Amino acid sequence: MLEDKWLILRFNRGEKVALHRLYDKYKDDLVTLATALLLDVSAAEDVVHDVFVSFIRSAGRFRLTGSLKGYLLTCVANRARNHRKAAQRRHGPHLEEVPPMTSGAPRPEQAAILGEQLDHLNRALQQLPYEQRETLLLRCYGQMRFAAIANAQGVSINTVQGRYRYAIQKLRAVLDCEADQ
Amino acid sequence: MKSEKHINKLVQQLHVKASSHLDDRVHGDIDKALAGEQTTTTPPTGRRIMIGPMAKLAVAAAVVMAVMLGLNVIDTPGGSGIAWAQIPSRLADIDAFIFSLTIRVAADEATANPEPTTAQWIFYLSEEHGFRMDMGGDGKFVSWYVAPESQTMITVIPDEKTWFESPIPADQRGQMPEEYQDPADYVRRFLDRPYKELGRSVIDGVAVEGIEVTDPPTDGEKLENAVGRMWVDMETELPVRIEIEGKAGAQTAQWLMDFKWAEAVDPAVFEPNISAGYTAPLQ
Repeated sequence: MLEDKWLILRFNRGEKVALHRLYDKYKDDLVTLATALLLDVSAAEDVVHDVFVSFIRSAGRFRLTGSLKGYLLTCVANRARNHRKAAQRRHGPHLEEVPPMTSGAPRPEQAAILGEQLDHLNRALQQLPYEQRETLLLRCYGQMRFAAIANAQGVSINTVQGRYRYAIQKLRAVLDCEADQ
Repeated sequence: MKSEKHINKLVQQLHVKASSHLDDRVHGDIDKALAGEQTTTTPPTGRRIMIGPMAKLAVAAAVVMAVMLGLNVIDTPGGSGIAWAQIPSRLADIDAFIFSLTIRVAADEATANPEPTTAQWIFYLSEEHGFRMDMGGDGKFVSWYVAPESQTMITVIPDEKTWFESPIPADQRGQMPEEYQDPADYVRRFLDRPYKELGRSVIDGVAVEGIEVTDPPTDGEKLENAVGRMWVDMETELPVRIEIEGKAGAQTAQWLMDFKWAEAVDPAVFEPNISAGYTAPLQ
């Protein structure tokens, strides 16, 4: 996107307005991804905040070689993964048993309720192993290529494609099952 | 049974809005971190190094954009005074054009950063004279020039009275950046949209005729309730203007593309505009 390249140019020149605009442009996408990964809105916002703090520090030397949105989504996925690992170290391996993102959110504007189908999807996502959930979200929500996801996760493309396939199969099974009920 | 496509579409509909608390934290951090750096007059070396590859991407993107627009075939129902289907072949005969793209994004007043942002690009392309692109906003412009067959690019920053020449790597010449690889897909998606005829109007004294499409492709930008309009010169039957409007969350985005074709393009615009007193710090 040409606008992103221009905003990056201005950001590297230290123009605040460009960074404000970049944040406003992608904040919801980043918070959505982080929330779907961590199933915890507050933790998700901390991750997005950390990503932007790092991004701010790169002013003057940031080089964009692809899609800025893809870059930021990858940063969020990496930080979310680290956040989850740290939480697991603190609380043990049962981290997946956290409240779903559609409930327990104190602020109504944060709720990710867009109809019954999405509610089903949220529940189905919680049933996926983390790696499969991350792969599926980066692929479907982030529109990233398998090669880029493999690079971000540090695994082979075959592994990524396998995770994606299993994730789709499992989601399909869960959603079909819920639809039948 | 839910198809992969259905699941994919469902996932794309997930949406969690960033809270005002997060907005305050990030906007505050931005203001704090970049305080006092708003008017940098002496750019760091790193920035100059950065401009090269970005400019190359922008050049390639601009060329693709031009191709996309040049290939834009629109079939309208009978009754129009314009032979819409003939526009592509007419454009294929043209060897020079200028088009400017202005994007204006205005946020609702309730948001943390309600100031509108305007950015403008002007693309100049001539088979005989080469390529030039100006990128700017708020009255400041940076220009890139690439002569035909040239393996270098000249960058001019009038605001800082500097210019420099940088090589275009062999493996990047003529290549498009990843996000702009499929102009045919853009055209196809544009033509998939429903349309209606808008009738006649006048733009800058030129009699034009227009059509309107809903949900026009916006090059990766998510715009809700977007509408695209294309206006064509009734005499030359060449595009004069494309307008796109839509909502991006709490923001309103407007894209405006203006065109000039063939003899309207002055060859002098392809000559690097390096005024006396400009310095070339990297050479």
